[in-house]
Amino acid sequence: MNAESPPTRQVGLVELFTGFLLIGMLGFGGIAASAQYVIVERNRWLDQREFVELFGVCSILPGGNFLNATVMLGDRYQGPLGSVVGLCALLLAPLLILIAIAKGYQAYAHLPDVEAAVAGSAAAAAGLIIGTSARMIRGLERSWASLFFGMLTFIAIGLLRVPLPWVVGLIVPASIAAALYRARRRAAHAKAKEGSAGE
Amino acid sequence: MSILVQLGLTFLGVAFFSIGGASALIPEFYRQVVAVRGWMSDADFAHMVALAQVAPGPNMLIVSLIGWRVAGIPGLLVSTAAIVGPPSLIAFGVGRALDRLKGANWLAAAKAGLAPVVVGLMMASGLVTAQAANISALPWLITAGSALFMYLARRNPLWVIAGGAVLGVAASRLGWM
Repeated sequence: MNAESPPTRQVGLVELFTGFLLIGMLGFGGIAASAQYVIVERNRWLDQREFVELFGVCSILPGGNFLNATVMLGDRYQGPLGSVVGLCALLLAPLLILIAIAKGYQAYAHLPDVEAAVAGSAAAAAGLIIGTSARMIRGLERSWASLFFGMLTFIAIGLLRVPLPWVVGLIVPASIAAALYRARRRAAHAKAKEGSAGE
Repeated sequence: MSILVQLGLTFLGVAFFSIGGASALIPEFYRQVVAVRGWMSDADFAHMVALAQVAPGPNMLIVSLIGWRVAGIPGLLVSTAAIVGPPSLIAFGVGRALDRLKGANWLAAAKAGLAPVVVGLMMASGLVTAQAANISALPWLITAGSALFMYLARRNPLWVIAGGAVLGVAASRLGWM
């Protein structure tokens, strides 16, 4: 799916706006679920396969996954204006709610209970991130390269507090190069097997 | 240099390296906002992380919250635009070029290469947030418990955060925290 192939139906600016607005409003705890609901089930902008593909491409680009997907999807239907409308609609409700929460926090932060609740929430949020990434380990390719680059990143960023550009500039290309190499080797092995099997 | 310009430049700088999404960028946000610029304390930063998780929408909005905290609504708008701008332009270009880039091996290798790095970044994010937030032993228990819960049972993150809030209040009332 890309912005050049003709979409299967027309989606106007208003529909884009309301769709992304809804995704933003329903996105408590994360927008993956509300995005899936609005894009695939409710508005049928993409089918499941296209949706997964879109996320796949967006996952390798800098920036928030879904923010990138919004830009691409908006462009597909209404060009650059569609991208802008999509982004603004997506962020509108969350930003307003965020400001309300922040102002409320500011107003009541001095109360000991509120302080304790936020401190507990922060501790939990940290654990949340740790737990989620631990789950993601299961989905990783089982290779020494994965282990090496993952640990290297964790040590560099988490323990040594190296600036991010170093990691992105050095570790990412190395890891991708290693992955490409592994892929080529696997392809070569598969070909060799085919060859010998035919004899 | 005006604070708005500083905010903009800081987040523009991060934007170009923003792989893995907001959760992977927390260590860099921390480094810039707390360590390098001193715009807020450890605890304040950690609280921003929690508040951003509670609010709906993309987690990248933690940047908006930081901007608001540093310079009000203008700060919020500048930071948000700065962190969203460059990646959006890149995504726009890639979206249009997708047909030409259609190399299935490329995409798979890029994903396979990025995945462990992103996981490493996220683990680091959790650690950085915990270190910024937890000033005594008990919060670490909350962190560990939340991590375990999230690892074993895949629930809406809001429950975990709510649980942390309740435990925090309980612990504080009991004098444990």
